[in-house]
Amino acid sequence: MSEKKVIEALVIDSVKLLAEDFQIDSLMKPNAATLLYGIDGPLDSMALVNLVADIEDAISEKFSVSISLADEKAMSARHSPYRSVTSLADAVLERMPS
Amino acid sequence: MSWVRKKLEAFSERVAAHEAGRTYSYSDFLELINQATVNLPSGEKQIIEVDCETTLEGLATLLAIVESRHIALPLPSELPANECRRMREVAAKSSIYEKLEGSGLILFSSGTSNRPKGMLHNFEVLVNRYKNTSLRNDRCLQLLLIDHIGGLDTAFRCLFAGSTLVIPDRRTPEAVGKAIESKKVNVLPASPTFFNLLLLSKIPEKHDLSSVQILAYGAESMPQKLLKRLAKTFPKARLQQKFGTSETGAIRIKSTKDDSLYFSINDPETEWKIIDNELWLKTPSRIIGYLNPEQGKLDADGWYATGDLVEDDKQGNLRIAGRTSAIINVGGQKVNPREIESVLIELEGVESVRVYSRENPITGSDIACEIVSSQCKSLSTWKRDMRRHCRKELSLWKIPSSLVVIDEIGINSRMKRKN
Repeated sequence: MSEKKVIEALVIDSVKLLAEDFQIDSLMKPNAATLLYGIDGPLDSMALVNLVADIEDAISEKFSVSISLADEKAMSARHSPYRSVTSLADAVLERMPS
Repeated sequence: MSWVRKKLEAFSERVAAHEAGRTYSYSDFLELINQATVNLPSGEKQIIEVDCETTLEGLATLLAIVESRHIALPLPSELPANECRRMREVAAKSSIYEKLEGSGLILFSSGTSNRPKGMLHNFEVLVNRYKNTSLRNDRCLQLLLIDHIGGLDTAFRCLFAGSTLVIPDRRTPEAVGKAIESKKVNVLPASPTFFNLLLLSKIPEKHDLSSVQILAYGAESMPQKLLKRLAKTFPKARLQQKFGTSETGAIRIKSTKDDSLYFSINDPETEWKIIDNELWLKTPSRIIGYLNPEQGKLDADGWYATGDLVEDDKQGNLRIAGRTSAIINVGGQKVNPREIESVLIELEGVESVRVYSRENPITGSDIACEIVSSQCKSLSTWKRDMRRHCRKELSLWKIPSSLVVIDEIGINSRMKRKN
């Protein structure tokens, strides 16, 4: 599996767990194209904060590296990294040490 | 202040204190006051640093300063050198001294900025609050130092009642357990954080603490679960709440019941009111003012906003619900971290918890928690268990987004939890 696919799977798992924990029905079966935050995305800002923290924790547990997904770069990006599973996975990849 | 000497002379051969392997009678204590008086400068009012080898000598020096009408600046040697330096700098110059008649006492509390917040008390007025203390035969543990209003309150309540102060060799749970057992301490005043440490360190199993009759807690809010654990561990002891601030001095309160966090203010000299859930107090022992004037929060009419949030049971009893400064603002919604802590502490395996805010670019702040547990679970399992537990009790936005498992919650030099 490519690195992108590994990260995408991790993001999908995090979204699934968040959906279960906070009972967000529309996110119970996410895939790479699932929209998360913004236009047509089901997350509110608090749920997004939780998802971001969950993904950061999962990355830290799996790869023993610490990344921050809620940084200035993410806030000022032309296309929000939080809009979908795949854009979040890209944001993770960008922040992973090579 | 002749009542001070008269009272102490009347106690003559009663035991005033046990400290550093020595037993001091009240005559010995008076002798320490006499020695301290000889060493004080005569003439113009001066700021006198009080840094003595023993707590009892420190207390004797403070009482000598009250008599000689100087200004006391307690700087116990346990304080870090840099902190002492900053305190000296703040105390060195202030226009507030012009308003002082008689003796003064300078106390510090941690300011919101880097500089410690200095306060000036009329020392005589503060000490006079203990004039009518009645005789008691307590053996009271002295945990806080003499630079703290709670430490001074414990010491003065005890000494002006002819009781015995027991000063442990160190301020650790182990040393406190040892002192309670060997000196048969019956009054144990401490912060909830320290009581929690005492239980976590299994001190009640290692030492015979059966002499303890009164557990007096204060300085920060007490979690209900900890109160229950204390009541179970010390079935014969009474649980009493204490309350005071550096700005107002200690005030007399009475817990409504042993197992209740509610108390009534039983202090004829104190007025109180609640504005926006915050407790305001007016006491005769209020400070004259702050040494650094920009830090003031004193009302011209003598009222002081304590910064403590309280809940009223509609029958005039109050419960401390947290600090105004600790309120977390998440995307415009406000929550008291204590509310979340009281839910988290009920989660199985959680022994201690701290909730705080972190900066977050998405919502301004988010809610984080640290827990202490001996259970071995992965972070993701803890997080899921925490969320499921909280979902039943809290609005979703109040559930911490970050959780860290740590070995112990930090404690500061004032025996309070680090924030």
